[in-house]
Amino acid sequence: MPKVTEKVSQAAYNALVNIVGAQWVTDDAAITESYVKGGEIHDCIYQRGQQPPGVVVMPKDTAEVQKVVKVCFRYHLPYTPIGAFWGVHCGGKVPFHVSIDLSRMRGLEWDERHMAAIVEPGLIHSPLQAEAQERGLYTMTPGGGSQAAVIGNMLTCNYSPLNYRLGLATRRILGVEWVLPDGEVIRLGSLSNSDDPFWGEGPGPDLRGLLRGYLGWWGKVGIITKMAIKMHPLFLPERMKPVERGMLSTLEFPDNRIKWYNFRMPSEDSMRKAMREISRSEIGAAVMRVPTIWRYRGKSTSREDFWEKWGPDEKKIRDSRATSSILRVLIIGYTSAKQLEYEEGVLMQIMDEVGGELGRTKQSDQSWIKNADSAGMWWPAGGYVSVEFVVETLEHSFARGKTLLKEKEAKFTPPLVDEYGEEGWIQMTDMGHTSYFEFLIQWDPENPLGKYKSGEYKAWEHWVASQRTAIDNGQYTANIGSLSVMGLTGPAFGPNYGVIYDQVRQAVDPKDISNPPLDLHDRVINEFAPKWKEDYNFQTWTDLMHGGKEHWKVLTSRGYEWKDCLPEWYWDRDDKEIG
Amino acid sequence: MELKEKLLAIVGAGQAEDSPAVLAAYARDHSLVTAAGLPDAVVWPESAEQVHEIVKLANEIKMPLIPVSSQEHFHGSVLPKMGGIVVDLRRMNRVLDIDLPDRLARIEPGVTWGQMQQEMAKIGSRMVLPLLPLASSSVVTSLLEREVPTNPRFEYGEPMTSTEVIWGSGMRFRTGSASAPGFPEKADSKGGNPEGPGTNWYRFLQGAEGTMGIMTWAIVKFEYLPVMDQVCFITFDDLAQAVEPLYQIQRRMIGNECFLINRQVGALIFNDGTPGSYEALKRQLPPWFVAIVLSGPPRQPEKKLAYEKEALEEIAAAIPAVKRIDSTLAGAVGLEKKLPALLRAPWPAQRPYWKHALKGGCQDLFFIAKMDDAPAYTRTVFETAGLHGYDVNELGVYLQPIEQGRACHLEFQFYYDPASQAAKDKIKALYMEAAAKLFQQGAFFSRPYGLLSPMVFEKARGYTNTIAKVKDVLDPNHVMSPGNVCF
Repeated sequence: MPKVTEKVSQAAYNALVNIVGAQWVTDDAAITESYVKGGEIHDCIYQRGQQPPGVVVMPKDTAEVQKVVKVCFRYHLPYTPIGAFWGVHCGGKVPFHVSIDLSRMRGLEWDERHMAAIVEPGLIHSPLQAEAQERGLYTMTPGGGSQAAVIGNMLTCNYSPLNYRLGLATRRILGVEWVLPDGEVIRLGSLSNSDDPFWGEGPGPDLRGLLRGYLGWWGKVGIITKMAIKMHPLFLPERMKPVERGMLSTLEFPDNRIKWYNFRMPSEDSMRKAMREISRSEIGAAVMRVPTIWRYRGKSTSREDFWEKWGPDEKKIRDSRATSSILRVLIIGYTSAKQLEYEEGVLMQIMDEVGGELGRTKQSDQSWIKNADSAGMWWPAGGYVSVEFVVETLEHSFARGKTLLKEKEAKFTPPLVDEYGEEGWIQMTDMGHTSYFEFLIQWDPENPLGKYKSGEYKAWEHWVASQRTAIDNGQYTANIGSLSVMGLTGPAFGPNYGVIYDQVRQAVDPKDISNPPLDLHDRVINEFAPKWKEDYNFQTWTDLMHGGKEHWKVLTSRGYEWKDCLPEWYWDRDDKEIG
Repeated sequence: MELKEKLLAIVGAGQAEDSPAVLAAYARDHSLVTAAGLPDAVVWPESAEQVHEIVKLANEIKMPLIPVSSQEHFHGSVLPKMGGIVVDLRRMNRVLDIDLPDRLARIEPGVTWGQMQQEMAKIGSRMVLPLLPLASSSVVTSLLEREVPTNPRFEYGEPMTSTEVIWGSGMRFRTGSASAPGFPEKADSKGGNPEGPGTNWYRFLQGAEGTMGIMTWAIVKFEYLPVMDQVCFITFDDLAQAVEPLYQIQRRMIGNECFLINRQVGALIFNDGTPGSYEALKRQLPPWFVAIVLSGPPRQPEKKLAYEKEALEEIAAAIPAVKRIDSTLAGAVGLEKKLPALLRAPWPAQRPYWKHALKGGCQDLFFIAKMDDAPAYTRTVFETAGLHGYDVNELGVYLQPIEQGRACHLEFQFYYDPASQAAKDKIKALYMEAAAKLFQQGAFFSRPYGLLSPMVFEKARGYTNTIAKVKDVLDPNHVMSPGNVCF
C-alpha cells in the first residue's frame, strides 16, 4: 500500500478557499478522482504514475492563479496546471498534489488589425477558429483537434500540415503573461513595456526559449495565464458550408481559393522529387505523404467500422506493400483566385515530370479547421500512440521512418497492428526547409481477433526503444526532455542537455513543485520494467545524476521516496515486471 | 605565465596580442557608447576547440570574454566595459556545409555577408538580408541580433536553425536537432530544427550580445534566387498615407522585398557615388515611397508576377492615397532594374557605408511598432530633433513591415560627424530624449543596446530577474560580455 496518504493541510486548504471561494475548491474524492488523466485515448504509456490530486482548485484570473501558486510555494505543495485536460499524461504524478484547473479562464480578446488573439489557458481551439473567421482571420487547428487548449497546445506541439506555410508554434507565440512557480508574474515581449502583447521576443535574450524546446515542459516551469498568438489573414470571400455530421463533419471548400490534390506516386524517389520541386517552386499551403492506414482510420466512425473497412483490404495491402505512396497537396489562393490557378498549373507540371497520378479528392477541410490527425480520427483506433513526431529535414524523415518500421516489424508486431511496410507520415514544414515526421502505432485491447490485445506494453517498450534508435542513428526525436527517459536522452543529446535542462528548471522552480517530477518515465520504468535499463542501455536519471538517492524536493522535504507515492493498484497488480 | 602567453599556448604564435596599439582598435566602434578602457588582450582562435579552451581559461582566471564576429560595430556591444579578453572570431570564417536540397548552410561566426553572397551566387541562391548591411558584418551575428530582413515573405520560420555554442560555463553544446549524437559526420540529422533539446536554447543566444556563450557555428537558411523580378513604387507626400496600403499589400502576401523609406534614406542608398548624385536625389526623390519587388520562381514566373501585379492594382484602385503604381521612381533613373540585386547583396565594400556617407557617423534609433502608430512615433522624433537643433531634412526614416504587416521595424537615422565631440554630445542628447519619449508612447525596444538597456530592463524587472536565472546556469561565473544587456 502506498505510504503517502497525507492530504493538503487544513491551513493550505483554507487559504485556497479564501482565494477562489468555497465553490471553486474541493477535496471531494468523486471529483478529484476524475483528474487522474486526460481524455486523449483510454490507455497510454504516458499515464503510468499519475495520481488523483488532493485538491482541485479553479482560479478565475491571473491574480487568483498567482495567489494559489504562492500558497503552493509556501506550503511546498506540488501542483499540476490543467487546461483542457486533452493529454492523457496531463494529470499530476503524486497523490497530494493540487490540480489547478484553468478552465474558468477562457478569455479571448482580439487585435484584428494586427492579427493577434489574446487567449487565456482554458480556451480551446474551436471558439478561437470560429471567432477568427468572423474577423477575417484564421489559425491553425493542431493535430490535437479543436478540443485542445490553445495555450497548452502552443506550448507543447501545435503541428499541422499548415506548418508548411505558417511556420511552427514557437514562431507564433507573441506576448506572454506567466506565473512562475514561486508566484512571481512576469511578462514577455512587448508586454514587458506595455499592456499590448503584439510582439513576442525580448527585450534582449528571448525568454520564450524557456517555454518550449521542440516540445514544452508540460507545466514544469509555471503557468501561462495569457498568451497572444499570431493569426493569419483569411483569404476566403465568404464562409464555408458545413457538410455531414458527427465525426465526419467538415466544411466544403469553395473551388477557386482552396483545393486538395491527391497523387499516387510510383516510387519513393518520385515522392521525394515532387516534394522538393514543390518547395523549390514556392507553391502550396500543405504538402504531405499520407500512410495508407491513416486513410482508413480517418474515414472510420468507430472502432468496429475501422476493422470492417480495414479487414477486407488487409490482405491486398499486405501482398502489395503499396504503402507510403500517396502525396497530398493543398493549394490556397492567398492573394487571389488567380494564385490558385497559377500554383495548380505549376503543380501539374511537376507531377507530369515525376509521374504522379492524380486521384479523386474530396474538397473539404481535413487539415485546417478539423485536423485530420485529431482525436476524431484516433478514437476509432482503440489504442494508439505516436512513438515519434519530429521536425527535421526531409531525408531525416525518410530515414527515421525506415528505422522505426524495421524495429516495429522485428520486435513488436503483433501485438501492434501490422501496417505492411508503412513508414509513417511526412509533411513538409517551413516551405520545405524542414519536414515533420510522425510514426503512429496502433493496438486494440478489445479487438475480437485478440492478436492486438496486449499492445499497450509493447507500445510502451517501442517508445523506449525508439529513443535508443534515435541515439544510435544520430536521429532527432520528439521524445526528449520531460517526455523522454531522461537517463537515456539526457546524456546523449547536446551532449548532456539533461544537466542544464534540469538546472534551468531548478532555477525557475527551486522547490520542485510545478508538475513534478522531471524524470517520471525513468521512475516508472525502474518500477515496472527494470529489465529495459539493460536492454536499452541506460541508467535512471536518479542513478546517473544523484547516485541513486531521492532528489525530488517535494519528497525529500517530507522524508519520502518515490515508491511511497505509488498508487494502490501498483501493490496489487500481477504484472510487477513486464520487461 | 602572463595572460598573453596563456592565450598563445592555446591559439599558437601570433594569434594573441596585448599591445595597447592593437587593443585600442577594440575599444571604439560606431556607437555613442564609451568604452571603460582597453581590453586586457585580444585573441584570434581558428577553431571551436580553441574557443573552448579560451572559455575554460577565462573561468579559471575569472576574466571577462568579449566575443567579436563582425569587423565593424554599431551598438557598443563589443566594447570592453570591464576589461577582459576580446575573442575575435574573424579567422573562423569557413562555410562548413551547404545543403542545397534543404536550403541550409552551416557557417562559422566569422563568415561575412560579403563572403556569403559569393557562396550563394555559386549555387543560384541567396540569403534574405537586412537592409544593405556592411559586407564585413557577420551573418551569424546579424541573425542572432534579429536584424530585420527586407523580405517578409520568408518569415514563416526561424532564419537560423541549429548551432554549436560554448556556454560561458565552458560546456560545449549543440542546440536544435544538431544535438543528435554524432552530428554532423555520423548522424541522419542535418540540423534543420532550431528547437530543443529540452528547451529552446537558441533563443537565449538571440539578442544576448555575447552574454551567454560563444557560437562556433550556426546553420542558416537560404532561398533560391528568383528568375524574374518586377519592381513597383508607390509614392506619398506623407508617411501616414502609406500605412493603409502597406497593411493591405502585406495581408495579401504580395511581393518579396517590400519597405518604406523617406527621401533622405533613398538618396543615401540609391546615389551612385558620383559627385552631385546624392544632392540630385535629395532634390528629386518623392518625400516617401514604398518599394515592392515582385518575383517569380523558376516555373512560370511571368504568371506569378501577373497575378501579384493585378492584386497590387486592385489595392491601388481602392485606396485614394495611392495615386498609381509606378514601375520607375522619379529622380532615380534605372533604379527599377538595379533594386533587386542591390537588396540581395550587402553594401559594396569599395564604397563608404551608406549610413556614414553623409557625415561620417550615424546613430540609429529603432524599435518594433505597429504601422498604425508609425506616424505618431515619427512626429515625436521629428519634434524632438527640431528641439535639439537637428536639421529634420537630414533625418532618415526606414519602415520595414514584418509578419504580413502585423508589426514593423521603425528606424530613425541621425547623421553626425564622429570626429566632433560636440556633435556626438548633441546627437546623444537627442537620441536619449527621443528614445525615452518613444518608450513612454509604447515603442518596444526588443534590442535595447548600450545606452537604452537600463531604461528597458528596469521596467521589465520580472523578465530581467528570470533571464538572470538562466544566465546563472549557462554562465555561472559571469565571464561573458559583462556590462551588456542587463548583466
